[in-house]
Amino acid sequence: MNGELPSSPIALVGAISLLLSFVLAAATAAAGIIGNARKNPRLVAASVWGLHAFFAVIVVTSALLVYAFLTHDFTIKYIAATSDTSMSTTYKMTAFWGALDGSLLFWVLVLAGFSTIAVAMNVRRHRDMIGYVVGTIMVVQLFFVALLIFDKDPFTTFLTDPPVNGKGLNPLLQNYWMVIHPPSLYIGFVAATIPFAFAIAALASGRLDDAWLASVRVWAIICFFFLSFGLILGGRWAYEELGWGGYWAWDPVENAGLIPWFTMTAFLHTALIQEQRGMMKAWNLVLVILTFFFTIFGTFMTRSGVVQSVHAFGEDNQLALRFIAFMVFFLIVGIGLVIYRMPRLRSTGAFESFASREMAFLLNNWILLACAVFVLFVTMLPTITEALFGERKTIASAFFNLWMTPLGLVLLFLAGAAPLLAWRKTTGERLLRQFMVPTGVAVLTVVTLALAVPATRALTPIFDDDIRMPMPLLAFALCAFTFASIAQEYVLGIMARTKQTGSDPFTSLFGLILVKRRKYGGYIIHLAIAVMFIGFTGKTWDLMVDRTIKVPAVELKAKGLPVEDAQFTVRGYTFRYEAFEQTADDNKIASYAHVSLWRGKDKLELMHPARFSYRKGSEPTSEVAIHERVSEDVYIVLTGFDPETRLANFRVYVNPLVNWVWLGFVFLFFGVVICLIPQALVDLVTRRPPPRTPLGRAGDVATLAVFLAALIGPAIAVARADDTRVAQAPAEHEDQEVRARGHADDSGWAHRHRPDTATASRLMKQLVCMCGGCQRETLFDCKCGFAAMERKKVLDLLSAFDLTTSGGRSAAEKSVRDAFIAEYGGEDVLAAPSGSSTWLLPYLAIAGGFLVVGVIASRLVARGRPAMVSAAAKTAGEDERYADRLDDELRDRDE
Amino acid sequence: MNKSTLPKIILSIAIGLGVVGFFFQSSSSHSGYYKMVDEVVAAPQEWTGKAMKVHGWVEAGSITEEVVGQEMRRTFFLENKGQRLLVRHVGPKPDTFRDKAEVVADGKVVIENGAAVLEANSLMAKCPSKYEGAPRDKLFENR
Repeated sequence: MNGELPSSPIALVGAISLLLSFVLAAATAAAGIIGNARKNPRLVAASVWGLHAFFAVIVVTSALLVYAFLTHDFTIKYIAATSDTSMSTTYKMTAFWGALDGSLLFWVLVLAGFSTIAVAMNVRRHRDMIGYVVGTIMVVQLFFVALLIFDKDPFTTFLTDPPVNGKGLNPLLQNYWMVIHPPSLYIGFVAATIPFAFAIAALASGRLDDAWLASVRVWAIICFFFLSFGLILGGRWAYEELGWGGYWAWDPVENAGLIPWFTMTAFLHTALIQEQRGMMKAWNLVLVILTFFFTIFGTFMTRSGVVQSVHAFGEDNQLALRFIAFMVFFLIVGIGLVIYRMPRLRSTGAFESFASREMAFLLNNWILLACAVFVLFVTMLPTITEALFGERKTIASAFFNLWMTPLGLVLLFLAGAAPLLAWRKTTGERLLRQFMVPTGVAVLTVVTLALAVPATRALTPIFDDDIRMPMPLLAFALCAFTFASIAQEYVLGIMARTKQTGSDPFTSLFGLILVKRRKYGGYIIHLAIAVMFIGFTGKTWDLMVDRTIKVPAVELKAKGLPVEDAQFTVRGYTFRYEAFEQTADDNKIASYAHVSLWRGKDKLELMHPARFSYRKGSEPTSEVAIHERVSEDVYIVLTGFDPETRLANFRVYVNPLVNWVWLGFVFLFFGVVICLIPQALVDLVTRRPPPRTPLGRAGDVATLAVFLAALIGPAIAVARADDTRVAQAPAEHEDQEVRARGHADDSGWAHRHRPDTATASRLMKQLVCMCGGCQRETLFDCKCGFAAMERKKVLDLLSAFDLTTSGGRSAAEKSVRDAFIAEYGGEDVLAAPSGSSTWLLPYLAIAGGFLVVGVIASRLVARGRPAMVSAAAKTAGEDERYADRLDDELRDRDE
Repeated sequence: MNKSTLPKIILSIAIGLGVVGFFFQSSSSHSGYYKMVDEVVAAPQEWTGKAMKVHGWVEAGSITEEVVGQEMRRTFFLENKGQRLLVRHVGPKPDTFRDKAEVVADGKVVIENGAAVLEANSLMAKCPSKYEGAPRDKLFENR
């Protein structure tokens, strides 16, 4: 490369490390597969080390890309396309997965991390199949690394002069939900690879007992959790950011995340049947293979342009072909292996009765699979019709609801009913006793709702527009049924344990959950699904209205005209367009319509829907205003305006019960956490002796680490994202050096009223620009005009003090801070309110919560133990066996 | 083959076919067509009353807007290959909707005074994302 051409050492090293990872992946895959096939322990061991080394290389590669983002290396095309100098450090990091090339690298990174943990945890336990596990994972990695190298190299540099500044990340993506939604969904997708690798390894090695199932269980739950988390976050992002009033539109990209969710959920249930009854072995393998297939298919579908989507990825036939080849390869290998091993996958049990839990699970599997196939087929319908008839037929999203509503309600019923059924066979008497209370509650709910709230009697179409059924009532009834059924299960469990251990009900509840974590955690997930369904049902009564108001109220008043002309009423809410306001900063022009929301004579809130047009020339964004209530959200979008006449277009949505969807997710989170509590943690709180061998201990520590990572990661992300007070890292608007030379950008505000003393500089770094446009940058960093005036205020206030003495300086600082707090009516104006360590609060809260829960749990369990020992001396030490006995006893009592 | 399996298989197939048939029957009212303006104008009767998306470019100077009782009503012509189609729409417009904008209008075709008119429910102004989707070379053409 000669001196004329732009060159970047980062790009060079990055490209080399990508090539290195490719070679490493190929060698590792070969070593793993051949080593395992020939039973050569040295080759297998080498492949395990290769897998860890691959992770290290990918970490370095990713770090290089992040470093390039942070140092604005615009000679690299990817950096120039997805970031610019004005972005804050957080968004520069997230630009890593802001477009296709980086997101592929991110995929490889997450999979490498997961596989390193999974292999480290299982290398001893599954000595005889770990080579195949490594081989499968590395073949997958090989594919993605090959894409990165040959097709989507994130380290490609410009061949001509590089731009001075980048194009910036799409403003729609500069949003805190967007920081966590894509990685979460990705993690869900990637986590599906681990069960898949174990399934292939089990098939290839012939070790088809339940051992592989035990190993993939944790990963299946992690996959399930992150898929759910990613889907919900995506919904929340769409709801807040896209301004169409909803959270789910059956968009192909959303569907791509939902399809593997269905198959993974199905697997989590049939895995239980295999565990308990030795049935459905082949089916479980197929489900794991299908889930993996669908994650890849989802990526393919959305990234190759075969379907059209709001996510607007381009058509890329080459990429499509590569993905197809990859998918066909794995489908043939996977299904081929299942067929080859079929003789050894015979069930050892059989269905004995329709009124059994396994039958409910089987039905649930059919429905889930039907959902997956339906969503897949309808999503692909435009593509299929185009291929078959040369005509692209589009399907309205309402059509999905027609079919998914009844399918979803059957699932909801099963979520309530399955826990009430016994394995093998439920006797008629037990059936009656178990179903009596939940059914009673459901009937009571229907009657009460139908009489008290006439709106719930609405008929909505299912399957076809002409078939109208009272689906909302049915949905509420089934939610009530599920609530009652889960509550009953908990109560019966507590009663049985109380009787056995002689401890109080609260202690029993704790013991019950700790001992049968998957069972009772799973029930909470069922509860969560029911809560979400309440939110889904609210969709029946949602409402959208468009209104255009010519003149805002403030101008009508000035002319002595009635303000009623500036208002409209929708479902009991009155909206009054009070005033129009435009502000501008270096990034954008923000146009606000101030709208007061009234309920009768009560003023609920002054809302500020807005539109931001960015100077970078990208599409304007709608900043919606949402008035949240438990019963419903009132949601306003400023859809258009005329700055000359102050005419404004509003779109108003009333979304009943929508908050229950988010609430449901909180339950789901807790349910998953309970399911994932590792044995090591239970041992810790119950103060049992540590496991027998150093190996076992190492495995438990690893499980604990994964569990904590899965738990704390998203929790912190949410806590941090929600906490808008957390000081944003300052954007790197300009180099200090340039600034010192009096550099003025377009507006010339950035260098106005710069601090003249250290005190002024310190204060300006403590105070936040409250212009409303910037992302809470400090006065020191923000380059808008508002910040400049604020800086002047600081300088003026300081001029009254003697800054040469330390007493004078501290008095001055306090006085300025107080003046700003008084002006803005709170500590919001401080970059880090009440001390600089506030950002630690969420972390401390989480850590403290763990400590408290741990201590309480340990006490409670310890309290229950002596009684337990006396009541059931032989089983006290063996919690699992004890729990099984408890179940048996429950069953015995019932029958 | 066992005697009792055959009826089961036949029944399964029948149910499967029934479901698939029902699926297509119910989907017909929700599926739409995607056509260019000239294709619609060439045979308006064929598309009358059908839900469809029509793709074209806004004819310069043809946009009229008026506010009637807090409702924003607009009409404009979509054109393609010399053919034009009148579109009527109530509600907000996309930001990039303007003269000569590439628009996909979603609605139903009706015949008025012998000419086809599209009663649009929603307008989608096409704006190729500058971040993704555009061919890699074009991404940087203005540099």
